[in-house]
Amino acid sequence: MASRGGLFTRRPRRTEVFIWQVLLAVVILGLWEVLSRAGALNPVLFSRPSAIISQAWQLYISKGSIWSAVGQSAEEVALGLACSIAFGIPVGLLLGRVPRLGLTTQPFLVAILATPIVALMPLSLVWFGVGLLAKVSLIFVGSVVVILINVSSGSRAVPRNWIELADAYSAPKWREFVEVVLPASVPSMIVGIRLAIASALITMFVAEYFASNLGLGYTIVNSAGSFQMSTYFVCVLTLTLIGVLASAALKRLENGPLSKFSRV
Amino acid sequence: MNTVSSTSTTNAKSDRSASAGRPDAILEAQEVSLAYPKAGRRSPGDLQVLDNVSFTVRRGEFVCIVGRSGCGKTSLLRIMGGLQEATGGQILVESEPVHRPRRDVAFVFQEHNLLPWKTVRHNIEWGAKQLGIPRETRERNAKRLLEVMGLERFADSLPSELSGGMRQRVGIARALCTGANVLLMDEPLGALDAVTREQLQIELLRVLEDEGVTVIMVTHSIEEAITLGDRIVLMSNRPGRVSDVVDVDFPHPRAARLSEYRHQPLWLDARERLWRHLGGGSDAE
Repeated sequence: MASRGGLFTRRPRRTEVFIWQVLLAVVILGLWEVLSRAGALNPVLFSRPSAIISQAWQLYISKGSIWSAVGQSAEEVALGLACSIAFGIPVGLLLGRVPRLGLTTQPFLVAILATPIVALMPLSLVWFGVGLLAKVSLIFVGSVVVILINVSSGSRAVPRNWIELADAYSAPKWREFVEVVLPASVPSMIVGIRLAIASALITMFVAEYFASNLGLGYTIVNSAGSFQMSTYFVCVLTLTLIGVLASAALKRLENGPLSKFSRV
Repeated sequence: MNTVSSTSTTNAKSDRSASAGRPDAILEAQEVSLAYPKAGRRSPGDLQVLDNVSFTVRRGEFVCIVGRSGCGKTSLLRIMGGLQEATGGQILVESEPVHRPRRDVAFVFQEHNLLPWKTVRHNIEWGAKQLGIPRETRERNAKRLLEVMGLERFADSLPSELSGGMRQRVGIARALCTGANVLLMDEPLGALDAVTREQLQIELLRVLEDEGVTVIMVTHSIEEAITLGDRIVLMSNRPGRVSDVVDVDFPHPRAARLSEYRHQPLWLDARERLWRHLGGGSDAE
């Protein structure tokens, strides 16, 4: 198998890497399964892959009881993200292109970014009660900040020579914005949204952990608390899957139709 | 004011350069100075970039501004384009002082400066679009320029798919597409390899001779200046001053006769003279 360049320098083919990845997963899961069956891992605490798979089948397909939790969590995340994108992108552009606004708000944004959003949970509960609004607002605060910071610095850093190009061809300010600033800021929007998704998923989990009787976060806490480890793992893997799918979708968009906006 | 003297082993065509007066002037630099206040220093005196630069560009002429790096030639071009204000003197285009970019003057940038998310065709039309030139006109112009510049096959490509020479052609086509009378070019070929540069010089000659535009081009290549220019304004270093103006009266069209041109005494004289100025003297660092 060793070709020229050797183990340490040769970059393997993609299919080869994929095979190794599958192999690694099989080994870990196999070991888990075997150790659990042999009694080396307590099945009450560790469950086992086969049990998790059959539980996933139960929860998703034959009983379908997990869907309400998934739906609840998805609703919170979707609403929170939609608000932060709808607010964060235009306001971020404004902060980036109006130096006075950007400089004034800068330290406040950094302060919000540095604050653990979880610490605001009690406040949110006091203000909005134990409902959808409390969670959505928390998700919004956490995710809008990263969008604001990314979009504002991205639109501030539009290369000078493009602005000068607009100047040289007498483009009015609004045209300069539409033709140059907006497209040049697309990469920073994508980065902002990617980070916002990660933040939204975390906030969603924590919010449900604290105060909810529904949703994936709640189910995770509840199932672990009552030693339903298979259910617990199914929920955690669901969150993982959502995160992976979202970032893959964004990556696809970034490398596909939006790739032309990345600088050359 | 303009011509210090001229190397003329001239043949014909001198009618164009003979009338050194104002009537056929399209652009005039009148005692243009540029100084930056020395930041944070107590010592008096500003940083003088340009000092009393004056010359006249006639309609249809190709003028090259040659000088070493840091002589202020790019600043001068930016002032001519209305992208920057002079601190003294003024630029007149069509006898009007320039304070902001004009519609009839188009800029070609050093680094092609194309928008990476626009196709070649849309980059070419871009400047015209900003100027509010009607769609049909700019589409017609763009189509013709794609042809002239040999870019037809790449009309719907993105700039990232083009070579450096191709990109610069797009930048030039973008300027021409506005229908401008005057082209200001800031070392447009500076970033290209020697062979591409040579090819593009020939192409530039061919195209610009056809378009009949007035061109002012900044370059630091003496050979390039003589190849392209009808007149060469030589600038000294720090502060930038006009140290010589050289007329090169080899008639247009030159593109087809370039190798002949390069063996003329005219070429060699001009080259010799420019080298002496740029290389030697008190300006040397």
